[in-house]
Formats: sequence, structure tokens, C-alpha cells
Amino acid sequence: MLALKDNLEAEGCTVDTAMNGEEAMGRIKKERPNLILLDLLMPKRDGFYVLEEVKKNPEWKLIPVIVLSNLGGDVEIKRALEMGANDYFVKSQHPIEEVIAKIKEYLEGKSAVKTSPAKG
Amino acid sequence: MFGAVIRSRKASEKAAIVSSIVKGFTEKRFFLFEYLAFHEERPKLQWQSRDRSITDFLDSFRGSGEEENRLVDFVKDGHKKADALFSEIVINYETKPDSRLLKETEQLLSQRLLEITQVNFDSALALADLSYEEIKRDQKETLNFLIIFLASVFVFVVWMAVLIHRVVFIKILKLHNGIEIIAGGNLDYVLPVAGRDEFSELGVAFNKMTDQLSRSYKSVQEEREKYWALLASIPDGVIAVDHENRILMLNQKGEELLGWKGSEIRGEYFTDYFKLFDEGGKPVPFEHHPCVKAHTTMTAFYLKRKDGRKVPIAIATSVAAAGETVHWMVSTFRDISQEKELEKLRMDFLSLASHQLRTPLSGTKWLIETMQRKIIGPITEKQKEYLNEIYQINERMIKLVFDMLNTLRLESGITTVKEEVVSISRLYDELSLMMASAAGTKGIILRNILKNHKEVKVMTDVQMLRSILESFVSNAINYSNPGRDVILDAKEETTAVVFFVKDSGIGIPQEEQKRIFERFYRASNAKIVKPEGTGLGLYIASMLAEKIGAEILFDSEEGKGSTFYLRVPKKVGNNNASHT
Repeated sequence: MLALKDNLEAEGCTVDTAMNGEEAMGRIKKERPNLILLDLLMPKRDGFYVLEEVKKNPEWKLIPVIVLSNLGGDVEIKRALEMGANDYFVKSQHPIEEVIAKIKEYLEGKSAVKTSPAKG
Repeated sequence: MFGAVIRSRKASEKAAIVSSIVKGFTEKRFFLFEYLAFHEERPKLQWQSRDRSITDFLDSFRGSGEEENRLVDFVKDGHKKADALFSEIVINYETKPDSRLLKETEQLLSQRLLEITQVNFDSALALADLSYEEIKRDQKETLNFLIIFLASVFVFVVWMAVLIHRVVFIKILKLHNGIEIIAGGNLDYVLPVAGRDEFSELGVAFNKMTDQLSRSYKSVQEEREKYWALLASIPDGVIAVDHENRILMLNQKGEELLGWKGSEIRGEYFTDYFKLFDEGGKPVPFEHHPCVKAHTTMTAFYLKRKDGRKVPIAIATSVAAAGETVHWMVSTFRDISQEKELEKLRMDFLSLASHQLRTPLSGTKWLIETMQRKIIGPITEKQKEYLNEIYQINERMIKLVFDMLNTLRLESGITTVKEEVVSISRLYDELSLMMASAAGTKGIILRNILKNHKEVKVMTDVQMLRSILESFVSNAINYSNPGRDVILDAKEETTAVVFFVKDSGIGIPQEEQKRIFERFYRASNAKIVKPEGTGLGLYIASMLAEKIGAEILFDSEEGKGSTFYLRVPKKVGNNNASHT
């Protein structure tokens, strides 16, 4: 998280962090971010909860959600994408640069936010 | 009896003689009357009687009684006298006597002759009466005898009938009853055998046969019980279905699993009681029901029990042929709830383990990358060198964890094979792009020969196919000398699509070639060129190939290079679809 924050701030982004799902929901309500980077395994409420809450809310459902997780199973990836995550990165399999590039794509509107599950 | 008949015959003969005698006398009297009436008109000679018949008959007569013999003697005597007298009259007296005296004497003599003949005639009649009486007596005797004889015959016949009844009929009846009892199923019944006649012999033979039958039946019964015990003791459910899809048999374990008793559902259509659902909860249609074709299922089915509860089962079916046309399908099935539970635990563990192992590694990876990007401040050349080294070590660790988890996942058999249509040139493009940087650092060019060729598609699990080819390409890059080409190609055969990745690298030593698919095995020259390899790449590739039903082959010569082939069989599927 530290590395991501530093990288994104270096790119000129404002980064807000939360330590768990509940906290994340509070931040989303308060800040209404342009993009959400979401881990799945978190204390209290997990990433799937946050994803569900975001995607079912008409106000938030257009916010791109990129899942960054160490969970690499087919089941989790499939589930997250079906629930409306826009991208899924298994952290160890991708250099941070690739992730930053993808985030920039979304923020610059190059990658359209899809409301229906897609992308394999 | 014969005495009576003979006697009766003798009496008849006697009667005939007597009758002749009587007849003789009658004729004699007529002759005498005729003489007396007409002797004057005829010549004397005409009247000379030569009648011997009466004497002969009287001589041939043999009386049996005293009265008879006396009468015969009397008649004989009278006859003689009469004959003598007649002769005297005929000889001594002219036919036409003139003298009155003579006439008177003749008259007298004639009178006397008439008297004698009358007496003779009467005596003959008396004799006749006697002989009739005798005949009557004999006839009566014969009749009595006949009555007695017939009565005796009747009694004898009745007695014989009774005897036959007792000896034959009762025995046949007993035999029949015995056979009925035995035919009714009581093979322990022993036919009562008495005496030493044919029936007894038949009875003994029959008892012997029944005994043999009883023993055979018992042994068949024992065998049957043994098989049932055997079937019942099979720890898996066993169900047999006939060629009309009716249930033939369900063993004890099968009853427990289904909740139905074998006796309740025997003869019923199996699909009404053996209801299966797939993992998604959809009912399995008849044509895909695992009980209708011989095979072992890879996937789990959910069996809906009598109580409505669904249990996961594994099922295997084989054909049991009985005769040429009839065949049964025999399926064994078992509850795999525990396996399913274990599988879930294993999945959870793998998921957790991979997460826990990756978390520090990915954190380290991105931290190093951030430092390398100099976002948090400048770094010296020496620091950069150190960071590169730490980064490589971390990457190796990430690769090792990735490979090991993959291995564990594949070995546990929990990965499921998905099927979709894969465009090969597109897959090669993706691979080339993914591997480009690794190839670039060694000055290696990846040549996708297929790129400008016609579209080749195959139906398989794209992730698994990609992983296998990735490992081929990654090896080709790792073990090629800088500046060489790596060729990616594929050709379509009738039944399969063959992928191949050719390099001009270090090759595999001949004597080590057969070991390269072993877990953690690394060829001696490979260890020198790339010491940090995990030795899991080809092992995983071979396992993945097995999963998708494909085959890995290779040609290799040390120092010249290797070509790895992946032969993926074609499947019947929708070739118009393309993967996303």
C-alpha cells in the first residue's frame, strides 16, 4: 500500500487509504473517489462486501474498481469480475508500473468503466 | 367240469341211440301194421325183414344205471322174440292162408307179436325217458358247474383287481404324491420305499435324484447367498439396470445411499429413483446419465435421495453381458461428501497459503520497484545493483511459490477443465507479447509463423493450454543463446492440432531426456545456464497436458536445440465461437 501510495502521489494523484472494508465504505461516502483500488482480504468487512456496496449504488457504480489482491484462484477472480470489478491484478504477478499504467488509463478515461461483468 | 361235459356228451350219444331205438320200434310197428293189413296182397318175400338196426343200436347202447341195463336187456330179449315170431309168421304162414285154423293161429300170433312190440316200444320209451332224465341231470350239473365256474372267475377277477390296485395303483399314487411334494419345493422329502419291486426301484432312483437335486440346489443357494453377502458387503452402492432401463438389483449400501429398498424399486425405471443433478443443481438428462454408458465419471453428481436430500456421489458404470443380446449396466456409486469436504478444505488451504505466501513477496516486489523508480529519492549505482539482486531473488521466490501452488493444485485434482474454442494465432500473439521483454533482454526474436496463415482453432481449456505453451516458450528463451530465433508454429491434423515451439538452444543431453518431466528435475546443462530454475515447469506442463487430454513430445539434440510439441486432440464442438 505504501509503495502504491508513493507511486500514485508521484503521478499527481490524491490517495486516501483505509485499513478495512468498513473504513473504506466511510471514505467512499465522504470522498467519492475517481477510482477505487481494492484488496479482497481485509479485517471486518472484506473487499467483496465493498465491491457489492459500490456496484449496487447508482451513485457509485460508475467508479472504476481495480482489485489488487494476493488471492490468485480462479474462483476469486471470477467472482470479483462477476460482481463488477473492472480489473483484477494478482499482485505478485504484475510489476507496479503495469498497475500504475492501468490506473492512469482509467483516470484518463482511456478504459471505459463497464457496468456489466466482463473481461476475462 | 370236463367230466360233466364228457358225461353230458355221452348222455346225448345215448339219447341219440335210444332215439334211434325208439324210431326203429316205431317203424317196426308200422311195418307190422302194414303187414297185417296188406300181407295178403303182396308177395311173401317182400315182408322178410332184414332189419338189424335195432339190434345194432341195442348192442352199441351202454347203460350206466341198473334200471337202464335191465330195460335194454329186456328190450333186446323182446326184440329177439318179436323178430323170431315175425319170421315164424312170415315163413310159416302163407300170405294168403285159406284155412281158418291157420288164420286163427296167425291172428293169435300176430296179436302176440303186437303185444310184444307194444311192450318193446313201451320199454324203449321207458329207456328214452331214462336217458332224457340222465341228460337233464347232466345238464343241470353242467349248469351248476358253469355257475360255480363263472362265480369263481368273477371272484378271481375282483381279487386280482384289488391286488393290482393295492400293488400298482397305490404305489403309483404314492409316487405321484411324492413327486408333487418335491415339485412343490420340498426337496428334503423322501419317497417311502417298501418291498423290492420295480416301483421300489423307481422310488429309490427317484430319491437318489432328489437327493442330488437337493444338494445341487443347496449349493446353488449357498453360492447365491455368498454372492449376495459379497454384494452387500461392497462398501459402495451397486445398482444393476437391464436393457429396458429397469432396476434389477440394488445392494445394501445402495439402499442406504438411495433411501429406497431394493425390493421397493426392483423392476421400476431407474431414472425415477436414481435422480441425478449436476454441480449447478440442474437435473442430469437421461442421455447423459452416468448409468446408461460404461465409463467412470470425472465429475461429481448429486444424488437426490428418497428423503429429498442431495448427496454428492462418484459413479462408475460397466456393461455386464448376459448372452449375446441382453446386457445389464452395473454402476457402483459412493458418497463423496467427505471428499467434497476435504476438497473444500484443501481449496481453502491452498487459497490461504498462496495468499499468505504471496503477500510479503508482492509487497517486497512493489517496494523494490518503487525504489528503483526513484520515486522516494535518488539511489546510488551500488544501491541500484543491490536492489536489482534483491529483486531477482524475490522474483525467483514468487515463481517458486507460483509453481509449487500450481503443482499442489494440479496434484490434488481439484482443478476443473473448462472447454472453449481457442484461436491459435491469437494465443501465440498474446504469448509473444507477454514474453517479448524476456526475449528482448536476450536479443531473441519470437517468430509467430502462424500469424499470416489461415485461422486454426481448437477446443480446450485456454488457461491450461496457455500455461503449457508459456512454459515451452519460456524454456526456449531461457536456454537459447542470445540472438537466436524461437519459432512458434502449429499444424492441423485430422484428429488433433499440434503446437510446436522450436529453439536453437543448448538442447537436452540424450541420456537425460527421459527424466525432464520429473518433478524438480533439471538437465545438467540447464543448471549451468540458469541456476535459479525451479525444475517444475515441464512437470506442471505435463500434468496440465494430461488434464486437457493432450500429449507432449519433443526432439532435442544437445548443443543444437529442442523442439517441443503439444498434441491437442480435436473435440466435437462449436467451431464458430471464439474465445474472449
